[in-house]
Amino acid sequence: MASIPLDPAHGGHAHDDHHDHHPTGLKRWLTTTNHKDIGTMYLWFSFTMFIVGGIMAMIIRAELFQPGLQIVKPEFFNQLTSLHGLIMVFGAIMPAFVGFANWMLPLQLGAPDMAFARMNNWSFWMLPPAAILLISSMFVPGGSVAAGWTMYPPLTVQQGYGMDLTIFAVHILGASSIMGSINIITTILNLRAPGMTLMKMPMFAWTWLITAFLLIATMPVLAGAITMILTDRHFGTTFFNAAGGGDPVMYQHIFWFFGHPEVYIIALPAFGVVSQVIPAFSRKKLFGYPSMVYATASIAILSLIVWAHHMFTVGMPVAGQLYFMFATMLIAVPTGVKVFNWVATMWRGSITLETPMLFALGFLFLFTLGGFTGIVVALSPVDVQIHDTYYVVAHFHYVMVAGALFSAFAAVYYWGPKWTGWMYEEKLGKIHFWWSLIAFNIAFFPQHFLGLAGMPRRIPDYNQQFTEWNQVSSIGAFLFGTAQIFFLIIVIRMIKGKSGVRAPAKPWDGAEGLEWTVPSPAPYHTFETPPVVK
Amino acid sequence: MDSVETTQQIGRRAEQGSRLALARAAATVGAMLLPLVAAADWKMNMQTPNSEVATLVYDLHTLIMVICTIIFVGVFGTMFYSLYAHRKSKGHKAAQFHESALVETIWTVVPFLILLAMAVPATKVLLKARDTSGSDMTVKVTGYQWKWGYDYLHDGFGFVSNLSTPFAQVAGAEARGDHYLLEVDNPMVVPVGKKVRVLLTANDVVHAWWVPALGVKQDAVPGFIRETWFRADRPGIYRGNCAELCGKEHGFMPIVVDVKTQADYDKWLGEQKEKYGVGKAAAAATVIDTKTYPRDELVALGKSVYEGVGGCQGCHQANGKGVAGQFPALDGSKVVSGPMAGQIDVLLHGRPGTAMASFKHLSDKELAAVMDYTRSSWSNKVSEIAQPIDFAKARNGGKLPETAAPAASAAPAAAGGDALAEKIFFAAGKNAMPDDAKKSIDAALAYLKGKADAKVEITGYTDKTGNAAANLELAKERAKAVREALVAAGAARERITMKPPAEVTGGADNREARRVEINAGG
Repeated sequence: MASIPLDPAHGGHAHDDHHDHHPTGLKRWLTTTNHKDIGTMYLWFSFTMFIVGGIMAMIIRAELFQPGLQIVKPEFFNQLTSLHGLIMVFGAIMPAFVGFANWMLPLQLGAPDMAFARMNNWSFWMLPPAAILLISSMFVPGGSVAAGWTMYPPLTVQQGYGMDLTIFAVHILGASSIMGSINIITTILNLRAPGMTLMKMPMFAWTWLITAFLLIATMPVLAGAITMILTDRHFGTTFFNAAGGGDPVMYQHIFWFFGHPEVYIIALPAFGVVSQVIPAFSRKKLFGYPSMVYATASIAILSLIVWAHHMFTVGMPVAGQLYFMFATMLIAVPTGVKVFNWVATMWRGSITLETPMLFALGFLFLFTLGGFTGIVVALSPVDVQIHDTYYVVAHFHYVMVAGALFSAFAAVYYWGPKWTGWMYEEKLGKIHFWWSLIAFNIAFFPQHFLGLAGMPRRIPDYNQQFTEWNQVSSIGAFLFGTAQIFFLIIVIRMIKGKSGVRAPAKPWDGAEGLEWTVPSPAPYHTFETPPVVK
Repeated sequence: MDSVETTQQIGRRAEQGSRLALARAAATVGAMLLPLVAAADWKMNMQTPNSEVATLVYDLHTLIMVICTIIFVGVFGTMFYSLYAHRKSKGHKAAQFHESALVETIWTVVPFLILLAMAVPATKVLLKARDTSGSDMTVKVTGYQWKWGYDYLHDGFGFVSNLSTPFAQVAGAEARGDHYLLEVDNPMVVPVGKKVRVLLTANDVVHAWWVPALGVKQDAVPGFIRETWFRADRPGIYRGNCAELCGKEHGFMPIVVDVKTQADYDKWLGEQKEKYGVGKAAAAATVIDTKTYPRDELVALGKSVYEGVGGCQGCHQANGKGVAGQFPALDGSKVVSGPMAGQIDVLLHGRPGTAMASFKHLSDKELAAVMDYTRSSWSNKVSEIAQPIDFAKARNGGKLPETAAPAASAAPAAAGGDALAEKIFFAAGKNAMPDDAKKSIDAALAYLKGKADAKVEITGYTDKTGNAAANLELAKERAKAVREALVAAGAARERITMKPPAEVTGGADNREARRVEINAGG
């Protein structure tokens, strides 16, 4: 075996290390148990799915550019909205953050690799088959799932074979997530460097530890719900059919018991990234580290007991409606603590505005905006008016795109030099940020107005009174979509070293953490001897 | 829908036409400019409320927005000041503090108090919005794929409300009207100022009934009844949409509520009662169309029903091919080319468990027409066609109600009458006669006594749970139990026929499904 590693992610930058024995070519990627390789694969998979889901969003926005049906038929439109949701949630955002966890957790904790290296390989390689199932479901008779990413019965019982493929795909994705979570929990609890107590861990590790528990708590519940749909469809059960003693609303309860924590499964690791980036570029320690940890845990616990605020119009008892309203509003308290702590971290710091910081600030600004509309939709009587309208679409895109995607961009710019050994081009990064920020707001801010004025979500055609804001929104969406192609170019240029600036071990003078003690790019094997944390 | 609006609409359509032309021109110049060029609505807030609850919600939303905006400005004012003043480029040196118990306590407690202040008005509005007591009238609303049914429970009539926007407007072949996709053939009509209780259910999948200006949105869940209410402040026409994704035509099942003054409402109510024959003897109300129509006439009418009030093409498509895997094709279908009885049964009773609903609300002539259209279109060339009278018979257990004959004098006064359609409901898994069966047995006896040549048919059904073969056996046992009860009560055995059901399982719910029917027999 050659002793020179062939690692495209390192831009062909060879580094001599006699431990680097691994197969080359395709076999390397199929059989790898290296957390860095697997992290890289997660990230590329996630970006690929992001583009697929994004293309669907572009078709949706093109159809909604004006009233009438121009581009797609209503049934295909429903397939697009459903798959866009499933692909973005399960294919793009979640794998992205598992990718960051794979790359960075061992580096941050001073561990040589993830705890279960072979399972790590397996949990990644389950994703491509699931993605193939999900996308190929569009080409079977009846098309893919067209009942929304929430897959409410009885509509899902009516669907074609595409629904079965979707159910199996979600099962596989769920199994992958659970294995990933077990790995992350074990790594964090057992492989920390000597001296690194839990309360000395980087915030990114903390948020992932809590997220992993949330995943283990809720993913099996989703699997149960969609399995019940499967048996209702094919094996004569009537879990969700009143004619057999079942109840369609029961599915909604079970789904949202998973679905609401899922929001935080996506958001918490994003909080973790931002909690690394803001102190680094403020050159000041994170304000209120213990309260950040407690706030994260509180958010996770509360997220498990607020699910029915997604169902204020199903006709639950008044007492239930009041309980879910109060509990939901309560989440604003720990979330507020986090926002205030981030602002306090910047206060009287020594701030510079490199691209990772810009994206973290964009996250903070937009996520908080989404948080405020979150309070509006938490108020049950108001939610009854805006439930299932474009207001809700705007709300969760502010939380998801701004909350997860912007912080994922921050993570790529922040840790990218560590992965590739090259700095990205700062000017291009800044253009990417401003382009994304402005286009995102053009795309999604008007959707608040559409929802308030009475436009339901998931409709392919609308009355002319909604034309103007839809056109603005579509233009914004196209701009936002193209900005991400630009992002791909920036990343490829970074990998190829086009900036001409080699990344030092610690490219950010205010950054803290063990990941900056290893060279850039990070060698194939790191921390074979654990560092000691004082 | 309103004659008053017609001239206005024509004017707007012309304007619409020019707006479209303008839009096309602008699109070629540059899509970016389009919104600035077109005559714009730019609506940014909730619709003008027209009920107490809608007003309360509107005000609550405004209040919350104001509070949120103040906090937002406070937090981000601080952040932007920090970004401006505490920059490294301005030579600012970082301070070293990183915690403060006091400050952290304050920003945990203060938001909590603000939230509490928000929760109080929200709770009040919610309790108001959910209080359905003391209503003046009740309307039952049923969601179908993809239309709404309205039943005026206390007035004894109901109708179905379909989208009335022509497909040509959707396809862009025709200028769009002002109420494009927000207009229906039969709106729900209610009196102003009255508390209207709305009972909601659905026939197939979950729908949601939403009228923004009236402040109501409630899911319609199949197999369950939900309730909500509204009280309209001003007369007028209020429009909304189905708000829960319910399949491919989800965007095409609007809700229109026509709020009238009490006097206008009473007039409308009178007209409806006349139209639906409410208050007249049940049999006399049914005007049976016994005429035989030429095939061409029925097929032509059928095409309009297929594309219009029937809404058939929504699923089965204009080309009759359906949607593979979801909605069966009619072109080449065994049911369509098979015996008439099978297709009549599907049209009248639907296919339980599928999107195929019952279409018995259509007239006999419309049903016959649409059936004949499907039998004469695409590759279907079936010689046997239905006439309205076939549906009239099918609705009545296979024969014409005798009162339908023009010679029929007064409505029959004798107990039992000439029509017989009794249902006896059984407990799950049991074939023992239920306690309330005696009434039905008596009605059947009275019917048999009424006419010397009358016969009855007994048909057993079961629900869909459990083993199908066992169910078939159970249905037979139940039908036999009813026959023996009839014989025991004095009916002659030879006047009772046992008729196997077209489908053993059926009915809207399980209780409904576990039944034995006693119908007038031929």
